[in-house]
Amino acid sequence: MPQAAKRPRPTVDQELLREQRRPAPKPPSEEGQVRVLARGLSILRAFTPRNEWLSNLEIAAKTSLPRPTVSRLTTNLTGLGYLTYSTSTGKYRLGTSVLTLGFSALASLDIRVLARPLLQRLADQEDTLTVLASRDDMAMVCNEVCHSSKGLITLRVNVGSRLVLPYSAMGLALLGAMAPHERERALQEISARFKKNWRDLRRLIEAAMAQYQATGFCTTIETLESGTNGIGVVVDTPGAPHSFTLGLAGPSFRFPAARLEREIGPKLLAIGRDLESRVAKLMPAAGNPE
Amino acid sequence: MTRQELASPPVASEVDSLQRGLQILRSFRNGEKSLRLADIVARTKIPRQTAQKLLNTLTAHHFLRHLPELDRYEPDVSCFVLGHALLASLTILRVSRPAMQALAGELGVHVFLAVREGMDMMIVEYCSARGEVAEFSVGSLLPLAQTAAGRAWLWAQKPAVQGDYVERIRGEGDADAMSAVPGIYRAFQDLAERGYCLSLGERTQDLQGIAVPLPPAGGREVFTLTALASEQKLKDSVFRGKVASGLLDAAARIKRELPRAEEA
Repeated sequence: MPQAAKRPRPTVDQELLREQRRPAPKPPSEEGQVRVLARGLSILRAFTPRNEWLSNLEIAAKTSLPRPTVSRLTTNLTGLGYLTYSTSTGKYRLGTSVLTLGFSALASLDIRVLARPLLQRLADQEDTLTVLASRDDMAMVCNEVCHSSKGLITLRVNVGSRLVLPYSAMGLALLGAMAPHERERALQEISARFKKNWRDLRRLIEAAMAQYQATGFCTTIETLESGTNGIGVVVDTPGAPHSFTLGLAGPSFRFPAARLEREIGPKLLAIGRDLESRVAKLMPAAGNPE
Repeated sequence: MTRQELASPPVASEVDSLQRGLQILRSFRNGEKSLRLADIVARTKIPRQTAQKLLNTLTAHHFLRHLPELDRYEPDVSCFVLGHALLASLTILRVSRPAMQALAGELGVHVFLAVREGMDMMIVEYCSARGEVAEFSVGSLLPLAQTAAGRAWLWAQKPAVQGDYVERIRGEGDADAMSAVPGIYRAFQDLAERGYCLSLGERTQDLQGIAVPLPPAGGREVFTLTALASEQKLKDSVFRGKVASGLLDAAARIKRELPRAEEA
């Protein structure tokens, strides 16, 4: 194979599968934390992203917790209503009560709600797909997804979809926005998790960091799915810097690199600034008693 | 086959820390973006120092995010992925959505699907009437005793369970709860005679609900389907009849399609 040949690129779905097979990341240092709560939270997280039925043994394998600890905690979580238990299979899954765990506060008036009309307008204008995403470990989780109402593009990205962080334009933009020491730590994690592809990945990330410095956005050319290009920018909200990203993805023949850089990049940045000012207006002022 | 292994008995203090940590997450109510430590202490009655440690743990696991400039906490991405994992696994949502959207579009009513959560009904899917602002969202709680959604849920339970709940509602002792009991029995009568119940004139808001119970999904929970419209609109008996028959049709359609979808 000649050196210049395009190397096969992993598709989103393959990467998703790979991500799911990967062992759970090491839990954060437990210093100053409440251990039983930390473990309970890890068990709840073991059911994401699909809420499949899991036995205590399977949960133990996913969380790296001792089996007796897992059975004790699944019993407690079932008693509290956050897990349901199937007597016929001896397996657990999340119960509807997990929606009371902060979800409704999230689902209400916040950046997601504010972003929706702005993203929808762009999706319609460009007849493609736009996304608001935030980081979860090595994935960018889609919080809002707007498809063009003309419905010509059918990328399989929905709310809750996970894009592999270092291959997504939004993930790269997030790395670009990090403070140097923070980025250093993230890159170490990436190199450990993507050992096999690290050489290529490093080149990709270095180029993306240079692009971010120069322009404030990152573009990706067929990194997640062949035939699809993407672009991402970071949204900074007061008190929660670089927690959210905005992205646009579309077919590479309609969104070649030059068009993304010249036309779409400035548009996406403008939407990001607009969103930042809207969020800032809603934030309670520091020191305000209520 | 081996005998099923019994889990070791729970340790009291452990249950407590787990429950308290999750109670902190529950104290973020609908529509509130962030809370201060003092708010959380006031709501949960957890001692300040303990609450701080629990908050550190929730933050380390990305269930909460600390906003240092404001010294406030807000729900973070783990709450989001947990909620979405649950929603994605509820087959009944996928089956109900088209029928709900059609109803909301045709009759200009808000339509929601709810399930019991403690003494409340929790919304798991919401379609707002075309062009109108959503009144509630997924995760919103409505009191079981006072709403059509809750009464339809109660009606679908076994008599012993119904009795328990009516006792608990009476036991709450406040005037609202007491006055709800006759409404519950009236709703039962409507459900028996017509298949749906109403909560006309019993809510302070001007929106009123008409609700029908859905068959238990996978042999488990009973969900209820509710249409919301303004009290004034629902006073018109022709309109009310249209909404009621639309709901009953939607419920029949969901009942028909659910078993097949659950197998798939």
